[in-house]
Amino acid sequence: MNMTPEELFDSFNPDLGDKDRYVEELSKKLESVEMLHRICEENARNTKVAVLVAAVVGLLLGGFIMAVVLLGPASGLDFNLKLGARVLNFSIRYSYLTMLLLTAVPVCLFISLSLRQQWGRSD
Amino acid sequence: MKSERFIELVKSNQEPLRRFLITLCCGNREEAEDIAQDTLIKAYLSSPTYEERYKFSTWLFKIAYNTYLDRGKRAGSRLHFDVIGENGWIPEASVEEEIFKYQSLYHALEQISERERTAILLHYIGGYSVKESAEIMNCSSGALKLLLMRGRNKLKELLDLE
Repeated sequence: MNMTPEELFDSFNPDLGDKDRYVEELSKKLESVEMLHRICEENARNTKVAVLVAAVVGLLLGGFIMAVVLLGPASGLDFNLKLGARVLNFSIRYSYLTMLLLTAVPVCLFISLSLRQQWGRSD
Repeated sequence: MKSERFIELVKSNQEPLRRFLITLCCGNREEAEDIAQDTLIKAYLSSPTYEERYKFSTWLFKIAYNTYLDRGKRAGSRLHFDVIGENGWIPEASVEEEIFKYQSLYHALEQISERERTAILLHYIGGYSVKESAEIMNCSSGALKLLLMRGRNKLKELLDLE
Protein backbone atom coordinates (compact mmCIF):
# COMPACT_ATOMS: atom_id res chain seq x y z
CA MET A 1 0.00 0.00 0.00
CA ASN A 2 1.80 3.17 -1.15
CA MET A 3 0.12 5.45 1.30
CA THR A 4 1.00 7.36 4.39
CA PRO A 5 -1.12 6.84 7.51
CA GLU A 6 -2.62 10.29 6.91
CA GLU A 7 -3.70 9.34 3.40
CA LEU A 8 -5.04 6.01 4.60
CA PHE A 9 -7.30 7.57 7.22
CA ASP A 10 -8.29 10.48 4.99
CA SER A 11 -9.60 7.95 2.49
CA PHE A 12 -11.60 6.20 5.20
CA ASN A 13 -15.17 7.25 4.55
CA PRO A 14 -17.77 4.70 5.68
CA ASP A 15 -21.41 5.26 4.78
CA LEU A 16 -23.15 6.66 7.85
CA GLY A 17 -26.61 7.03 6.37
CA ASP A 18 -28.82 10.10 6.36
CA LYS A 19 -27.50 12.63 8.88
CA ASP A 20 -30.83 14.39 9.51
CA ARG A 21 -32.69 11.13 10.02
CA TYR A 22 -30.09 9.98 12.53
CA VAL A 23 -30.42 13.21 14.53
CA GLU A 24 -34.23 13.04 14.33
CA GLU A 25 -34.30 9.50 15.73
CA LEU A 26 -31.83 10.49 18.39
CA SER A 27 -34.03 13.42 19.47
CA LYS A 28 -36.99 11.06 19.96
CA LYS A 29 -34.87 8.74 22.09
CA LEU A 30 -33.61 11.65 24.17
CA GLU A 31 -37.19 12.79 24.83
CA SER A 32 -38.03 9.31 26.22
CA VAL A 33 -34.85 9.29 28.29
CA GLU A 34 -35.69 12.71 29.73
CA MET A 35 -39.19 11.56 30.67
CA LEU A 36 -37.84 8.48 32.48
CA HIS A 37 -35.23 10.62 34.20
CA ARG A 38 -37.95 12.98 35.49
CA ILE A 39 -40.01 10.04 36.83
CA CYS A 40 -36.99 8.62 38.70
CA GLU A 41 -36.19 12.02 40.21
CA GLU A 42 -39.79 12.45 41.34
CA ASN A 43 -39.80 9.01 43.01
CA ALA A 44 -36.55 9.82 44.80
CA ARG A 45 -38.07 13.12 46.02
CA ASN A 46 -41.21 11.33 47.28
CA THR A 47 -39.12 8.86 49.28
CA LYS A 48 -37.16 11.68 50.91
CA VAL A 49 -40.43 13.45 51.83
CA ALA A 50 -41.86 10.24 53.33
CA VAL A 51 -38.79 9.69 55.50
CA LEU A 52 -38.77 13.32 56.62
CA VAL A 53 -42.48 13.22 57.55
CA ALA A 54 -41.95 9.98 59.53
CA ALA A 55 -39.04 11.51 61.43
CA VAL A 56 -40.91 14.73 62.27
CA VAL A 57 -44.11 12.92 63.35
CA GLY A 58 -42.09 10.50 65.45
CA LEU A 59 -40.25 13.34 67.18
CA LEU A 60 -43.44 15.26 67.85
CA LEU A 61 -45.25 12.20 69.19
CA GLY A 62 -42.25 11.23 71.29
CA GLY A 63 -42.04 14.74 72.69
CA PHE A 64 -45.77 14.79 73.42
CA ILE A 65 -45.62 11.46 75.22
CA MET A 66 -42.61 12.61 77.24
CA ALA A 67 -44.45 15.78 78.25
CA VAL A 68 -47.53 13.81 79.33
CA VAL A 69 -45.45 11.36 81.34
CA LEU A 70 -43.37 14.05 83.04
CA LEU A 71 -46.40 16.11 83.94
CA GLY A 72 -48.09 13.11 85.54
CA PRO A 73 -47.66 12.33 89.25
CA ALA A 74 -44.47 10.34 89.86
CA SER A 75 -45.86 8.69 92.98
CA GLY A 76 -48.50 6.93 90.87
CA LEU A 77 -45.82 4.70 89.44
CA ASP A 78 -44.23 3.26 92.53
CA PHE A 79 -46.68 0.33 92.67
CA ASN A 80 -46.55 0.41 96.50
CA LEU A 81 -43.09 -1.20 96.50
CA LYS A 82 -41.16 -1.02 99.80
CA LEU A 83 -37.83 0.33 98.42
CA GLY A 84 -35.43 3.12 99.34
CA ALA A 85 -36.26 6.59 97.97
CA ARG A 86 -33.13 6.83 95.80
CA VAL A 87 -33.69 3.48 94.16
CA LEU A 88 -37.35 4.25 93.68
CA ASN A 89 -36.58 7.61 92.03
CA PHE A 90 -34.07 5.97 89.72
CA SER A 91 -36.58 3.28 88.74
CA ILE A 92 -39.29 5.81 88.10
CA ARG A 93 -36.96 7.97 85.90
CA TYR A 94 -35.77 4.93 84.05
CA SER A 95 -39.33 3.77 83.48
CA TYR A 96 -40.20 7.20 82.00
CA LEU A 97 -37.39 6.84 79.46
CA THR A 98 -38.25 3.23 78.80
CA MET A 99 -41.88 4.11 78.26
CA LEU A 100 -40.83 6.96 75.96
CA LEU A 101 -38.66 4.67 73.85
CA LEU A 102 -41.18 1.85 73.84
CA THR A 103 -43.84 4.21 72.55
CA ALA A 104 -41.85 6.46 70.18
CA VAL A 105 -39.91 3.74 68.33
CA PRO A 106 -42.89 1.64 67.22
CA VAL A 107 -44.82 4.82 66.32
CA CYS A 108 -41.95 5.98 64.08
CA LEU A 109 -41.60 2.53 62.56
CA PHE A 110 -45.32 2.25 61.93
CA ILE A 111 -45.50 5.64 60.20
CA SER A 112 -42.39 4.93 58.15
CA LEU A 113 -43.65 1.50 57.03
CA SER A 114 -47.12 2.71 56.17
CA LEU A 115 -45.73 5.60 54.13
CA ARG A 116 -43.35 3.28 52.32
CA GLN A 117 -46.22 0.87 51.65
CA GLN A 118 -48.32 3.70 50.25
CA TRP A 119 -45.42 4.78 48.06
CA GLY A 120 -44.92 1.19 46.90
CA ARG A 121 -48.62 0.91 45.92
CA SER A 122 -48.47 4.12 43.89
CA ASP A 123 -45.67 2.58 41.74
CA MET B 1 -27.20 23.43 28.25
CA LYS B 2 -30.60 23.38 26.58
CA SER B 3 -31.66 20.38 24.52
CA GLU B 4 -31.84 22.43 21.28
CA ARG B 5 -28.25 23.56 21.75
CA PHE B 6 -27.22 19.97 22.52
CA ILE B 7 -28.86 18.64 19.33
CA GLU B 8 -27.17 21.42 17.34
CA LEU B 9 -23.76 20.41 18.65
CA VAL B 10 -24.46 16.72 18.09
CA LYS B 11 -25.36 17.39 14.43
CA SER B 12 -21.84 18.56 13.69
CA ASN B 13 -20.07 15.99 15.86
CA GLN B 14 -21.98 12.75 15.31
CA GLU B 15 -20.21 11.76 12.07
CA PRO B 16 -16.61 12.00 13.34
CA LEU B 17 -17.76 10.27 16.53
CA ARG B 18 -19.35 7.36 14.68
CA ARG B 19 -16.38 7.06 12.33
CA PHE B 20 -14.07 6.92 15.33
CA LEU B 21 -16.19 4.26 17.01
CA ILE B 22 -16.49 2.08 13.90
CA THR B 23 -12.71 1.92 13.60
CA LEU B 24 -12.25 1.54 17.35
CA CYS B 25 -14.56 -1.47 17.17
CA CYS B 26 -12.57 -2.75 14.17
CA GLY B 27 -15.49 -2.60 11.77
CA ASN B 28 -18.15 -3.99 14.12
CA ARG B 29 -20.89 -1.53 13.17
CA GLU B 30 -23.54 -2.92 15.48
CA GLU B 31 -21.30 -2.47 18.50
CA ALA B 32 -20.12 0.94 17.30
CA GLU B 33 -23.68 2.22 16.85
CA ASP B 34 -24.70 0.89 20.28
CA ILE B 35 -21.78 2.69 21.89
CA ALA B 36 -22.58 5.86 19.91
CA GLN B 37 -26.18 5.82 21.16
CA ASP B 38 -25.09 5.19 24.77
CA THR B 39 -22.54 7.99 24.48
CA LEU B 40 -25.04 10.52 23.20
CA ILE B 41 -27.58 9.61 25.87
CA LYS B 42 -24.97 9.86 28.64
CA ALA B 43 -23.77 13.18 27.21
CA TYR B 44 -27.35 14.47 27.13
CA LEU B 45 -27.96 13.49 30.76
CA SER B 46 -24.66 15.12 31.79
CA SER B 47 -25.22 18.22 29.66
CA PRO B 48 -26.43 20.35 32.61
CA THR B 49 -22.94 20.04 34.10
CA TYR B 50 -21.10 20.69 30.81
CA GLU B 51 -19.17 23.98 30.74
CA GLU B 52 -19.16 25.59 27.31
CA ARG B 53 -15.62 26.91 27.75
CA TYR B 54 -14.40 23.35 27.07
CA LYS B 55 -14.48 21.91 23.57
CA PHE B 56 -17.69 19.92 23.09
CA SER B 57 -16.14 17.32 20.78
CA THR B 58 -13.33 16.54 23.26
CA TRP B 59 -15.89 16.07 26.02
CA LEU B 60 -18.04 13.86 23.77
CA PHE B 61 -15.12 11.72 22.65
CA LYS B 62 -14.04 11.26 26.25
CA ILE B 63 -17.51 9.95 27.14
CA ALA B 64 -17.40 7.70 24.05
CA TYR B 65 -14.02 6.25 24.98
CA ASN B 66 -15.11 5.62 28.58
CA THR B 67 -18.33 3.99 27.34
CA TYR B 68 -16.26 1.77 25.07
CA LEU B 69 -14.06 0.76 28.01
CA ASP B 70 -17.10 0.14 30.22
CA ARG B 71 -18.37 -2.35 27.70
CA GLY B 72 -15.35 -4.34 28.77
CA LYS B 73 -14.93 -6.44 25.70
CA ARG B 74 -13.00 -6.26 22.49
CA ALA B 75 -15.67 -5.75 19.88
CA GLY B 76 -13.14 -6.69 17.24
CA SER B 77 -13.15 -10.28 18.43
CA ARG B 78 -16.72 -10.57 17.07
CA LEU B 79 -15.41 -9.62 13.74
CA HIS B 80 -17.30 -8.15 10.87
CA PHE B 81 -16.83 -11.17 8.66
CA ASP B 82 -19.88 -12.83 10.24
CA VAL B 83 -22.65 -12.22 7.79
CA ILE B 84 -25.42 -12.49 10.33
CA GLY B 85 -24.94 -10.65 13.62
CA GLU B 86 -25.80 -11.87 17.12
CA ASN B 87 -29.35 -10.53 17.08
CA GLY B 88 -30.01 -11.80 13.58
CA TRP B 89 -28.85 -8.51 12.13
CA ILE B 90 -28.20 -8.92 8.44
CA PRO B 91 -26.10 -6.12 7.00
CA GLU B 92 -27.21 -4.35 3.87
CA ALA B 93 -25.28 -4.94 0.68
CA SER B 94 -23.61 -1.52 0.92
CA VAL B 95 -22.37 -2.30 4.42
CA GLU B 96 -20.98 -5.65 3.30
CA GLU B 97 -19.15 -3.92 0.45
CA GLU B 98 -17.79 -1.39 2.86
CA ILE B 99 -16.62 -4.10 5.23
CA PHE B 100 -14.82 -5.73 2.30
CA LYS B 101 -13.34 -2.40 1.20
CA TYR B 102 -11.89 -1.63 4.60
CA GLN B 103 -11.23 -5.14 5.84
CA SER B 104 -7.44 -4.81 5.70
CA LEU B 105 -7.62 -1.64 7.79
CA TYR B 106 -9.96 -3.25 10.34
CA HIS B 107 -7.83 -6.36 10.48
CA ALA B 108 -4.66 -4.33 11.04
CA LEU B 109 -6.33 -2.24 13.73
CA GLU B 110 -7.34 -5.40 15.52
CA GLN B 111 -3.71 -6.52 15.63
CA ILE B 112 -2.54 -3.51 17.62
CA SER B 113 -3.36 -2.96 21.28
CA GLU B 114 -6.53 -1.13 22.28
CA ARG B 115 -4.68 1.88 23.68
CA GLU B 116 -2.44 2.21 20.62
CA ARG B 117 -5.49 1.91 18.39
CA THR B 118 -7.32 4.60 20.34
CA ALA B 119 -4.32 6.94 20.21
CA ILE B 120 -4.00 6.46 16.43
CA LEU B 121 -7.71 6.99 15.78
CA LEU B 122 -8.00 10.06 17.99
CA HIS B 123 -5.10 11.61 16.10
CA TYR B 124 -6.00 10.63 12.53
CA ILE B 125 -9.80 10.33 12.61
CA GLY B 126 -10.61 12.74 15.43
CA GLY B 127 -7.91 15.21 14.43
CA TYR B 128 -6.90 15.80 18.04
CA SER B 129 -3.56 17.09 19.19
CA VAL B 130 -1.38 15.04 21.53
CA LYS B 131 -2.54 17.09 24.52
CA GLU B 132 -6.24 16.69 23.66
CA SER B 133 -5.87 12.96 22.99
CA ALA B 134 -4.05 12.53 26.30
CA GLU B 135 -6.92 14.28 28.06
CA ILE B 136 -9.45 11.98 26.42
CA MET B 137 -7.46 8.87 27.29
CA ASN B 138 -6.64 10.17 30.76
CA CYS B 139 -2.90 9.72 30.38
CA SER B 140 0.18 11.97 30.14
CA SER B 141 1.26 13.55 26.84
CA GLY B 142 4.48 11.52 26.99
CA ALA B 143 2.57 8.25 27.30
CA LEU B 144 0.30 9.29 24.44
CA LYS B 145 3.25 10.07 22.18
CA LEU B 146 4.68 6.64 22.89
CA LEU B 147 1.37 4.93 22.11
CA LEU B 148 1.07 6.93 18.90
CA MET B 149 4.57 6.06 17.78
CA ARG B 150 4.18 2.36 18.51
CA GLY B 151 0.75 2.16 16.91
CA ARG B 152 1.93 3.99 13.80
CA ASN B 153 4.97 1.74 13.41
CA LYS B 154 2.88 -1.39 13.77
CA LEU B 155 0.30 -0.17 11.26
CA LYS B 156 3.04 0.75 8.78
CA GLU B 157 4.39 -2.75 9.06
CA LEU B 158 0.99 -4.48 8.84
CA LEU B 159 -0.35 -2.39 5.98
CA ASP B 160 2.96 -1.72 4.24
CA LEU B 161 2.56 2.03 4.53
CA GLU B 162 5.13 4.69 3.78
